[in-house]
Amino acid sequence: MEISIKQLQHLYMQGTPFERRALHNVTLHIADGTFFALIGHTGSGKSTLIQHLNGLLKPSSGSVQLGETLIKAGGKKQNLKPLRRKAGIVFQYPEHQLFEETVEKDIMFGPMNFGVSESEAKNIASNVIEMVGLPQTVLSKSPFDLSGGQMRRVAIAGVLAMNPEVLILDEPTAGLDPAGRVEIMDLFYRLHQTNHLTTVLVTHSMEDASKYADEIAVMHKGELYLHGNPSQIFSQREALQKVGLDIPETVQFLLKWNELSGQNLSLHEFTIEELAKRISETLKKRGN
Amino acid sequence: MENIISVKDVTFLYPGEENSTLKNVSLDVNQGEWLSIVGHNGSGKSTLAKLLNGLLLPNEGAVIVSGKYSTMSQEDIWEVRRQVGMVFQNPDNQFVGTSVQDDIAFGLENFGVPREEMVKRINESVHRVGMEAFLNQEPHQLSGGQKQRVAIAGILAQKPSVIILDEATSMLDPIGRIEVMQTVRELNEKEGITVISITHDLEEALSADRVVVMKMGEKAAEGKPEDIFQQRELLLSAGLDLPFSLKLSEALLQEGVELDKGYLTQEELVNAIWKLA
Repeated sequence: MEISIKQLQHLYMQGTPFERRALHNVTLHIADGTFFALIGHTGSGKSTLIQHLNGLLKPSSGSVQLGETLIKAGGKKQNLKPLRRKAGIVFQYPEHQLFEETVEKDIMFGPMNFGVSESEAKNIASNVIEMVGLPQTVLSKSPFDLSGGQMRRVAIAGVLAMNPEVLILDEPTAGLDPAGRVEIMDLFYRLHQTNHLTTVLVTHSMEDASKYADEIAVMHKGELYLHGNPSQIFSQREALQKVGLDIPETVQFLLKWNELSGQNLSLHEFTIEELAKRISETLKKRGN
Repeated sequence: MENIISVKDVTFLYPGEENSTLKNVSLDVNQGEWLSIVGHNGSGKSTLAKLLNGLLLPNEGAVIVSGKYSTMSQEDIWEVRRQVGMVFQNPDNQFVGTSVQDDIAFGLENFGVPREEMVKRINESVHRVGMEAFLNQEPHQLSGGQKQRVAIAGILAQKPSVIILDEATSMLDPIGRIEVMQTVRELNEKEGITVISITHDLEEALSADRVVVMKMGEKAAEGKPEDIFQQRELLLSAGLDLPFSLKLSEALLQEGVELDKGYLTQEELVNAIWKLA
């Protein structure tokens, strides 16, 4: 689903002495099917921005459009239920929001809230639990008897149960061990491709942004600071460091290599495999 | 080197659980070292951390601090808690005061420190974490990294021997992470405070003096980072990843570029490759 953000401004506690501008003049177009990464440090406006994408926050001025739904400042109160169903948010530490007696009931809660019948909701629960790589036997367990990694998967299954077209992920791997991190990110990437989703990933990890994203936006002090494809973003190391961010390890290493060898190699996929290939090619050329 | 904490054959079972979270774990922590404890989610590393200052008590075995204080003893427990401070994961869950100085004072009040001494210690400890300009600030005015530094100041005010970081930087952004790690590194290097860091950050563990790998409630390995991080199978089976430089070395080998040994840092590796050219 296409997302179009136009001159979005958001003020917290508008009209009070505590008024604070969290977003200023953000214009961003995310094409249908894009894997989009949003980076920036705490307080840069990332979380405020994504909460506009399913109507949890309303613009103070400007507008946000997802597919057919247009949310604009001063607009009429509208029914956002259809939008919330299409744009699913996986919040930080989503397992903190589990509450039902069983995993199955927890996953069924969302769909039934949107009018799906009980038997249909059961089917959905059984489908999505497989999508997140957990066995059917987990359905009858209490979510609170599961490990941290399993709880995270159950919470994600609850979002998938709504069959969203847009998936908004707010640091979905925070607190997981390195193996769990790779598993969860690969899961999202697979879902992104097979279900033809539009994905917005909020992350601190330059590695994840470079590995998965088609496009990257960097937020700083409530404004859009940089926007482009990974090659464009990661060629601007100084601009990134100025706002407390850095380039991925692969690029860091390549810069060290370029400095030593006097070459000017560059990366497009930012993977370790690509980096190894570039370096071995130049070694072979020298050998000849 | 002297032991500051001795974990002796500890087994721990959470009430109501069938399997022990920790099984026969023994570990000596050397005075003044930086020890990183790594392992998969559910490996028992946070449970181990909570046993080190008596927040949890072992079902079997013992934890001894400074050679003589047992966490199992009602008499010793206050001395254990004073010596072994802990910084938790979530900066918002450990700020109890309404201002920075109140927050630090809270811990001291619990230990019955007289007011004059308290003021002195608060001023001294905020200075050591670089938060002296924030004494009267309220918690919501602070960033995550700043809150964690206040937590560290609260521990310092009690003149501890050991600081345990239980994934203390995992909820912080890159800037906050660097702030907190620099603060702790200085305390470790300049003041000799022992640091035990429970972490998923491999690059951080690489710069530790020693690393302990936990796996399924047992100690799977213990040693210097340069030895531990060469052990591919061990790391992967413990839910960890290989450090960047080793992954790149493997990828280079696939491309036919062979190196004489495993290099752990980017600098070492890039220089080693350059020598091949």
